[in-house]
Amino acid sequence: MNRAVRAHPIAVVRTLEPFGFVLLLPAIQMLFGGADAAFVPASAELPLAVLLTVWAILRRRAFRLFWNEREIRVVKGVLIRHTVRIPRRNLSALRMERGIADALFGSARVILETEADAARQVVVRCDLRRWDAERLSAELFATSGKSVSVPLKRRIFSALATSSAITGLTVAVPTVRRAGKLFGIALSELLYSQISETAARFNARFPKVWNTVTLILLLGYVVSFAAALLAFVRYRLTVGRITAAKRGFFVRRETRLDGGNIRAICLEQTPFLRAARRCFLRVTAGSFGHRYNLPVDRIARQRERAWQMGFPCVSGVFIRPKRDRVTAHRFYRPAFLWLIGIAAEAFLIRRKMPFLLPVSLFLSVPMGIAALYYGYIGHFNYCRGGISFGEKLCAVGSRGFCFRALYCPKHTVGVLRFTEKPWERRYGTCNLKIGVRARASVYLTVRRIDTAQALENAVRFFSDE
Amino acid sequence: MRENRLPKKSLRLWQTRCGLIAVFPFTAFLIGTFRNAVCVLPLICFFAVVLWTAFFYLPRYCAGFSLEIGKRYLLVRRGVWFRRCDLIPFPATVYTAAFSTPLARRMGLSALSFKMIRGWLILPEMRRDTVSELLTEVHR
Repeated sequence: MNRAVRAHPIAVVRTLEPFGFVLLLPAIQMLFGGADAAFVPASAELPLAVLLTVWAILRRRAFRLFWNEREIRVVKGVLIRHTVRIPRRNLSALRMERGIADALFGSARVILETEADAARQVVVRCDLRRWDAERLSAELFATSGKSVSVPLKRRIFSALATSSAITGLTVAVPTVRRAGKLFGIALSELLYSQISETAARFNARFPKVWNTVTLILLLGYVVSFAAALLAFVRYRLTVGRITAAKRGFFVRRETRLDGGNIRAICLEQTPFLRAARRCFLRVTAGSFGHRYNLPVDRIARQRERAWQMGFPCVSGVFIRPKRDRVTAHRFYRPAFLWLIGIAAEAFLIRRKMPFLLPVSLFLSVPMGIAALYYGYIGHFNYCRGGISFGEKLCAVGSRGFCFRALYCPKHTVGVLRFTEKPWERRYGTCNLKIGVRARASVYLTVRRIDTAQALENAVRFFSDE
Repeated sequence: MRENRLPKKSLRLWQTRCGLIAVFPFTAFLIGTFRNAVCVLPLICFFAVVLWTAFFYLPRYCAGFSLEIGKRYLLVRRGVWFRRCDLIPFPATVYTAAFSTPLARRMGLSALSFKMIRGWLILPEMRRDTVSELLTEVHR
């Protein structure tokens, strides 16, 4: 049965949005007579603004979206009429976004994605009435599984684990600058002076600038945590043939995709989660490899979920890092040497130049801790790391400061890269980087495994039917 | 499984390229040496680097390079100190492209690039018949 919907009137506003401050606002000010001399637009701007508004209205009226059991048809354009036909089997995902303006006017932005190359991946982006969008979403990607809600404690834990000071600063700094420009005040300078003043109040041994940097980083973390918590407030996940994930607070997002075709499953632990014995479950699904995260939970429960999805299946030989005396004891050596160096440096500086001691310790101690943690990662790779080329590929290793276990079927493996460093050649070991064919980057490195054995197994893995 | 190595022509091509690239900086350093004697040291260093690249690094790189074409995969071994080995299943390649510069075309060589879903793999110049065989194998 054919169904048809039209665009919501908010589409007119969305079309005119980029011209708002430069063209439309001065024109409106001039029309209502309250314009300042500086705001009075040139004689060409008013007709242009009217023309743009008419074009936006016509564009909204020209838009039609039809769908039936076989295909989706989109008709758009004022002067040049476009008709886009997409077979339903080629659709990879449907995204629905509802911001504050959408909540007020009862609209929703619908984004339809296909398997095409990244540049043409989004084929339809339109503003529909909310009930139209929900009907479209329900008919194209009808969910059947049980919806999972997440307790508040786990939401807070997930937000804590995913937040970082750098992410917070990346979000907060442009926002503060933009807000300052909008209100015409030097908001960023005001905030910085306030932070500096607060930092000066702390009676610490370190110089004042360190306090300021620490405070800025802490604020960045708080912003990131708040953003992550708001994203997890409405979190609901439905896992089944069609997978649906709802998240977001101010801008509510819902993604529906074909969940039957799971490309990879990744159990991931950040240092914080490793200490708490919990992990994330990242699932890459759909024909184009969309990624969604299941919130933090105990490792056993996440493994159980992975089992339900058909992973992990360790059926081949699990190739472990090559074990020899040299490999076994070398992980913590650089860290311990570093710590001994710090102690010696502190002793010498305390005797000769005591005023330099705080700065020296401030720089050396975090680096020593990082070296120690790096040693721990090496030890983890040595004890737990490995790869199995069985029915499916299973690998345990690390990436950066995170620990990962990756499971994926044969047809989704993108590339296997073996790297043999000069100092590893003596022992016949190498690092193996596994990449999965998906839009989201899914990588894992297994370290110090036997080169010949791994290569032989990998070749057999791809040669077999 | 069939193994292919780089032909001698490929090494000669890269050595020629190395020499051509070095001509302009070498001339600049030489002119500088006539004006100021301090430029002798960079001139000698540069000359040593060019010689080392052309007659030490490139022959070892070409000798270490090998390409194995399996039934459903491609195995590329390369590198001098950091030995890398890339195993690419054929379905992972989105498309392949053969390209050649005028100099390479004159020598009957052609380079090959593989576009994968995340990233590229560019193989150095090989004989044209090897390249066409490889293309047929990948897109079979």
